[in-house]
Amino acid sequence: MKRANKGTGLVFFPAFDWAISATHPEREERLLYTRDQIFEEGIMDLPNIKEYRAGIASEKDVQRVHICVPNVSAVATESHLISAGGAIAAADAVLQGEVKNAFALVRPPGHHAMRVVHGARGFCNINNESIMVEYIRKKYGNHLKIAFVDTDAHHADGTQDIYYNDPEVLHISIHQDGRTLYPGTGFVDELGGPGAFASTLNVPLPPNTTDEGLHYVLDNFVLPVLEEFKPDLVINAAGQDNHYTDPLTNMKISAQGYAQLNEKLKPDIAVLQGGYSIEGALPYVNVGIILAMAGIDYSYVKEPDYYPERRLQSDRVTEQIKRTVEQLQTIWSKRNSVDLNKIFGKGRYYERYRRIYYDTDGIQEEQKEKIYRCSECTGYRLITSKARLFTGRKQTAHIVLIPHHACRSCQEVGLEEFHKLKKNEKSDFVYLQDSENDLYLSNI
Amino acid sequence: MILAIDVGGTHTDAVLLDSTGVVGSAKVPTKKEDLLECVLQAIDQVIQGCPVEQIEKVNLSTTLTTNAIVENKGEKVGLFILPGPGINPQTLLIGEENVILSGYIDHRGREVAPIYEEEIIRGIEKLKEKNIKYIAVVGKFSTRNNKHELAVERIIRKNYPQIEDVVLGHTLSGSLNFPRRVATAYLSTKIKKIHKNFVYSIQDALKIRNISAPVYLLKADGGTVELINSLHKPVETALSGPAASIMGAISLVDYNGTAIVLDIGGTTTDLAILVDNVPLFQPKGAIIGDYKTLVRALYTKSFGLGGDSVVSLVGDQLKIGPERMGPAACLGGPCPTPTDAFSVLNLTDLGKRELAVAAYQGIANSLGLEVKEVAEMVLDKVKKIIIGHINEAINEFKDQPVYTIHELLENFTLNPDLLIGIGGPAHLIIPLIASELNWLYSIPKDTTVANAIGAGCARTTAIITLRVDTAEGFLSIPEYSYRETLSSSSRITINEAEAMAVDWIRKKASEMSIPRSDLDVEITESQSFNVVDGFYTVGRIMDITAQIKPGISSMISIDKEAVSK
Repeated sequence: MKRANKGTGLVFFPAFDWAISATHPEREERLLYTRDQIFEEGIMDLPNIKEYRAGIASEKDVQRVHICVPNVSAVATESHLISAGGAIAAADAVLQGEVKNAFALVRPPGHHAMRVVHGARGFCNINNESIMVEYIRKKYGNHLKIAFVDTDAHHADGTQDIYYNDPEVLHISIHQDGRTLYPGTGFVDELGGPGAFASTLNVPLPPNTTDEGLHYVLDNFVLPVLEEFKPDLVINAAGQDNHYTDPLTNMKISAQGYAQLNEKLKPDIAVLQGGYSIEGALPYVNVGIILAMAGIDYSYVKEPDYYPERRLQSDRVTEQIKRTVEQLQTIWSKRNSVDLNKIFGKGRYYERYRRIYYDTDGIQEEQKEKIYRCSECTGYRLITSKARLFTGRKQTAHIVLIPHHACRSCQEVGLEEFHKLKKNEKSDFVYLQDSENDLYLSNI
Repeated sequence: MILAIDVGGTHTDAVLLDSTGVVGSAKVPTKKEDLLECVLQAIDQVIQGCPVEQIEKVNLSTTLTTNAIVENKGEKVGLFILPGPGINPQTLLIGEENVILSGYIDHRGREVAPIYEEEIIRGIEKLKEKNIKYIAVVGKFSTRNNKHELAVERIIRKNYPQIEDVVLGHTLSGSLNFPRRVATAYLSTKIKKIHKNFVYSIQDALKIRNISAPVYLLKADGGTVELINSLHKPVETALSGPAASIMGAISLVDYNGTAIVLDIGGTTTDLAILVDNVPLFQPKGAIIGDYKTLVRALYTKSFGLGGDSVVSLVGDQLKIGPERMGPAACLGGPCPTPTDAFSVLNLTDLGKRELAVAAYQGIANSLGLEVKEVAEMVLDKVKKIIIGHINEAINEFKDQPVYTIHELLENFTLNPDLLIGIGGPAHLIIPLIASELNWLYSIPKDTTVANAIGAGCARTTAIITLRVDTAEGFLSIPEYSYRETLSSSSRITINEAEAMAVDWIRKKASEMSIPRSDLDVEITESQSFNVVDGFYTVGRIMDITAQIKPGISSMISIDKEAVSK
């Protein structure tokens, strides 16, 4: 893999002709003022910035990540495919060695989309950054170790779900405490499946956390963990809704805080997530991130209502963050000596049961999952997903997952299971997602 | 009749055009130190025996402003900037004296921080010390609200009445790009005096010759501007040379389709693209010398390959250009050139073939090949280089980022299938490339004075940018410093806004006495956004750009080379 030592790629796709609905936060206007600021700053003219055109993700790109019920075109429109295609364009720019790092400033976002998709949740239909990562693993080598650092104010429950049992992908989500914000998950004890314990990490932050608290987490937890994990690629799912002006959250991060975060984290690729303070925050935050990624002085990037004391947070908030970080440090340092049987049981299968609510599309999903605890690989998985759509219609999907680096036996058993299900289930949908062989089948 | 003059790098051409074409032409060597003199020489030669009262219009394309910029000539500029938050303003301090002010306007045109008179007065003191009398004032987002720039100008004029000129950023372009606005304003201010002197000298000189017709200058966008009106934005007249050659191609060849224009000179080739007889624009504005500007310009791609480019051997590889050491060897020049390769292969009867053969003998010996084989390799290489540049240009437009789903799915591609060749070596090189690409080609017969013809046929262009923000309650046209307050109940629709933009440009056209028959108005950009606050739509933002397209004046109807598929 040849890598460039300078230059920042920028894929800007504001989808000026697409909205979830006319007054929805995900509407045409969302990146309008960001465009104004980027264009007025002359960002695209800077010698170390290269602008790239977004592409369109293919059906197979989506299938590498998702089981779309009933199919890709039913859940992903052109806007979603272009947003994912924008992330892919950013990845290609970096991995072809054209630029050192890249920022996909694209919408709609993706990090709430889970592996199984019946519709939109948290404004997301398909998971752009996971589609990008699976594209990278396919095109540039499935041995690559990847670390996600999701800094959106909402827990990245979708990306967490996709990489829940994948030890080569570290997923760290930093977000506002789930007890106070959608989607209500992302607690310290969510640590991933039996095949990838502690490669899922969550840092819930109390409301009113400022730049000070965020950087405490970075310095004392995230950066040391990355240092040990030694990823080949760091992906920042760059949500901007923890800004102090965001209408949907209660966090207090500033443009300077975001820019400094990027300077420390040095992501290879950043992909925009949420952020709905479209005038007061996004123009400044995005310019700050771009400049920081490009190694250009960002100290003059400030919101009109910014003053330095915005960094200060209450002692209570500081104490709470310190406790959370301490807990996580302990978990991380003891991760290899933990008895997994105590957590996941001694059975040959680990089973979990979940209810998932799709707030955007009003869908209720019930999911049962069985993970085979294989000694050779992370094991094939069986999922039954029952969804009740807002129209009242019900749909059921039976899914067999064969993971990356699956052992021969798990590949064979998984395929057998798929054929068995296909024969038995006449009215339901049956899918095979074979990541090892890049094979995606269904009974449709 | 139209009198047209094109000042080129080596020659200055003048032509007299009647409605059917060239009735007289003249060529004099260009004197870089005294452009005025060579313009007048060319005029005097071409109007010999012509009743000057029949001249209805004089169109002039000069390298004056381009040269001034490239050679860094002009007045010292005092630059006042209002950068607000963003990129470090230190990177923008290109004035001979710079003053950073703390007031600023945001993206919606709202004043966030006011300006302070003391800051400006302190700045003026610095300019007075250095005796700087040309001033540019540029604010970030001044196209959204020109209030600060206007106020700074007032304070400067009040406290420093000795100044010669103040240029305000918002008047130069409606586009967003603060660094380019700064550069455009700086250059406009810097070359003001040089340009003004030239304009007045031309006026005097024409008066002496009893030519009373209106005089126009060619701009980088392929349109013209009346001499007097050019005083405001002289920087627009830079890069008119390539524009003249493109307009020349359009006035001499008619093709409904996509064509590549190659203006092949002795040293360089300029490439442009025409779609249905309309040239493509440089997406963000012209690059003049080292400066990225907001000057509207036709797309051109220049590369160092021409008929007289030096052919040399680097290792065992042939290298062509980018330098020129003199004419082709067959004409007594010092080194082998592409022109000599044609001579060796008996494809031209220019000059003395034996000189060309002799010039290539050295390379042939080093490579252990016949001179003819080397000549063929040279032509092959010339083809490869030019086709490489054609493909790059096409891809530049194909890979152009777009910001809507509609445009992305539309997947704009250029499929040219015609080559138009201009310039001395065109008749030799163009057929080779066209046959390699399997395209048609056309080499207009007056190709050696095509640039002057292009300058003569060009019509006046104009552009306006209209912004409507009903939530903020204003409508503005920055280029004309126009701003109107809208009531909160304003319900302007996008169609009404577009109609307003078209009306405005028509009104401006009549003020500029553009004949109705030359009024080819088009909307080049139209965007509309609902502004939502909370869960309610509180207004609408609309951005519209309308232009009078560059094209051929209705005064002219030259018999064009019709090319059909």
